[in-house]
This record gives sequence, structure tokens and C-alpha cells, in this order.
Amino acid sequence: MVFNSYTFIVFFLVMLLLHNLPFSWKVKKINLLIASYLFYAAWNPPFILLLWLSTVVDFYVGKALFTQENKYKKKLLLVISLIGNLGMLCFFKYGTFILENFTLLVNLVGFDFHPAKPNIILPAGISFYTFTTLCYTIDMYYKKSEPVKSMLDFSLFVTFFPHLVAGPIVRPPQLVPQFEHPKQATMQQLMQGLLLLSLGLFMKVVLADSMLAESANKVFDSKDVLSTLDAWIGVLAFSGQIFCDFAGYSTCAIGVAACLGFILPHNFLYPYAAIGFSDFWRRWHITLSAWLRDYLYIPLGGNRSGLFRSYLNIMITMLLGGLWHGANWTFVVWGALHGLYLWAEKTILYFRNKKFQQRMLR
Amino acid sequence: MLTFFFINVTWVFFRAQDFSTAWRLLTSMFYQAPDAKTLLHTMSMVKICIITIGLISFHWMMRNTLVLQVVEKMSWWLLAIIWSLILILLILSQESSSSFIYFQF
Repeated sequence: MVFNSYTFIVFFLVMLLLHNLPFSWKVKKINLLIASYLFYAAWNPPFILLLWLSTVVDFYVGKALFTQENKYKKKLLLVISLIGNLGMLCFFKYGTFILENFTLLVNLVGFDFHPAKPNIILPAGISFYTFTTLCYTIDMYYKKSEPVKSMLDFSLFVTFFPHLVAGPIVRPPQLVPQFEHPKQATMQQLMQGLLLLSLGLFMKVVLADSMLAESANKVFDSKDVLSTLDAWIGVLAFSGQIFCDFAGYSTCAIGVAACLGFILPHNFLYPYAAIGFSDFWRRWHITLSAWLRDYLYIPLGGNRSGLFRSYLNIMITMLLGGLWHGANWTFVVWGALHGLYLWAEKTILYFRNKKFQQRMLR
Repeated sequence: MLTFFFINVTWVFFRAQDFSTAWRLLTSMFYQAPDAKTLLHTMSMVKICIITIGLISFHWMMRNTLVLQVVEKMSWWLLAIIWSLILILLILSQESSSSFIYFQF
């Protein structure tokens, strides 16, 4: 189901009603859970199984990880979760891509290998929910927070329909505690939620789709060499489109959650006003860059393993971040460019600080 | 603004289906080929310029605050007008709707 559809409006109104009727909190949570599975099923019912599998496996692995003392068993459990989640992601999302590149490589070496192109469907939101459940198991490995006690709370955390399909990527400590006590929107929260929902839809439907998409698509789908002005306008149109589309979605998600009484984290904070690239990543897709920072960059060593290693870690993080966005080398190049920009920024700052220090020492 | 410029360059790779398209677009952006095509209507271009300038200005004004904070300080009639405008434009634009971009992920 998508936020900009009449189906969703009906769904949402029914949810609001049910959520504010005098049922017990547990019933309301079950209600939200079933609704979230319905929301997902509206896209393609059988794929709920994948979502459910990821949820169940990580719940039990997480629980076991928290109490397990044996170092090797812990690593084994973590590996199970990593393989389960990333394996699913790799197969569904990158299966065709991996096969294509493998075929290319093998043919280069001399073998005549031409497999049929597999028809793998990409499950909606798989990049998001695998990352969500994965951060839970990794947190459990490092004992960063308490394990979630009930399967209901954990499933609701993973499947919560506002953030299920395209984020914000929520961490367990941000959402699960909100499930402990009955949550209902106050009048002010409801108003704010509805306003955010309207704003998000406006950004997506009016700005991104009606005004910007057509020109962006025309320019990017064209096979001709275009004039400089046309090329630039097309790119600017896309910049606007992708922001309004994605930030619009996140705003809708936050608004819908607010109407139900829940608080989701910010995902965009005026990124086009960023000064410098670190600032940009603190403002664009905030929950993803925070995830990559905490679960990829820092475990790799962050900037604590020496200068050379910190540059390498930045690039690895950006390359994988790029790849996460899609199964195409263009996304990796996108990531690489951001990596290069961050390198340049880091280097400039390093020399600026050195000059400053030298001046202070005089 | 410089940051925005560089970010735009990255979006070329993000959106383009393949490298030949990306490269073609990038070279067009920095060099006007003699046989280059003009594809877009002037009206579209004007519209996009206005939106882009509006978007960047809005970001700059809001960079250290949040929408909800601003809304709280707004007088109720101004909020009502803006909100109604948003809803009206929303209803008028319902025809050309498509899937969220990030749904590919």
C-alpha cells in the first residue's frame, strides 16, 4: 500500500478509529500488527513470509545473544543473523546483478556461460526491514540495550506500517519502549500528525510527481546529447524530485505515527542547506547514515585505527551505502563520489587545523 | 551552495540507468556540444527554476529549526490558509501520481 492512495486513506481512518476505541492496550497492539501485515500484503501477500522469517529468526537469535556468554557461540549466532538477513537481501535484491557480473567475469576468462536471466522479484522494503532486524541482533551482540521481552512488541517494532516500507530506519530503543504503555495521540499530536501527513503528501504528489518528475524523466531517459541548459534543468529537477519524494514519504510516516501517538525519528533536516558533506549526511536520510556509522563505520574502526584506515573506512562505508540503494554499478559510483568528497573535506580540515595549531603555538 | 553543486553531480550517477547515459549527461552539463538537442519546454524550465530556488531558500531559512516549531509560532489563520492551499493542490494533482522512488529499495 502507498501513502498516496485512496486505499490508504480508508485504511488510515479505520486504524485511527480502532486505535481510539476502548480496547485493551494488548488488543490495540495486535490490531496494529495485523494492520501492518495487511499494509504490506497489499503489495504482494506471499512475501509476508520473508518479513515474518526475518522477524522470528532475529527475535530468537537476539534473545540468545544477550544471555550467551561463550565467545564462539556468540559469534556463531551473530553470523546466523547476518547470513539470514544479508543473504535474503543479496538473493532478492542483488541476485540478478551478481549473476550478470559473474557471467561477465567468466566470459572474460574464456568460458562460454550464458545463463537465463532469473526473474527475481524485489520484495518491497527488504532493504529496510533487514537493516532494522539486523541492528537489533548487533545491539544484542554488544549488549547495547535490553532484549525485547515479547514477540508481539518485537514484531510490531519491525512491521510497524509507517516505517515498514521505506523508513525512517528505527532502532529498538527508539520505538520499543513506546509500546510498553498505551499510546494515544493528544489533540495537539493529532493535529501535528495530520499536518505532517498533508505536507508529506504535498511534497510527494504535488512537487515531486506533478511538477518535477516529467522533466527529470525526459532528460534522464533521453538517448541524445542535450544542451547544457536542458541537462542542468533535468538534474536540478531530479534533485528536487528525489528530495520531495523521499523526505515527503518520511514526513508522511512520521505524521501517521504521530496520529497514533508514536514518535519516529527525523530523517531529513533541510539537506540542501548543508555546508560541506559531513553536514549533508547529518541532514539527508539521517537514519541510514546513522545506521551505517554505528554498524559499519565504527565496527570497522571508525577514525580510531590511524589516518590511512579512517580514509579506507569512510570509502568502504560510502561504497556499501551506495550499493544498498540499488543493484547497479552506478549506485556504487555515487557512493564512491560521496566518499571522495568526504576525503577531500577531511583533508582540507586536517590542514586547516594544522595551520591553526601552528599559529597558536607561536 | 558549493555543496549543492557537487551533490547535483552525484545525482547524475544515482538516477542514470547506465554509465553511458551518466557520462553523456555530465559532459552536456559542462560543455555545449554543437548538435545538442533542446528537450524541455521553456515553461517547464521556468517552473523547475522557481521550485529549485524556492526549495533551496526554504532549506536555508529552516536549517536550524523544525517545521513543527515554526508552525507553533504561526498565527492560526496563516496556518489555516497554508494548510488549505496544500490540501487543494493535493486534490488537484492526484492524477499524476507514481510510486515512491525509494520503493525500489
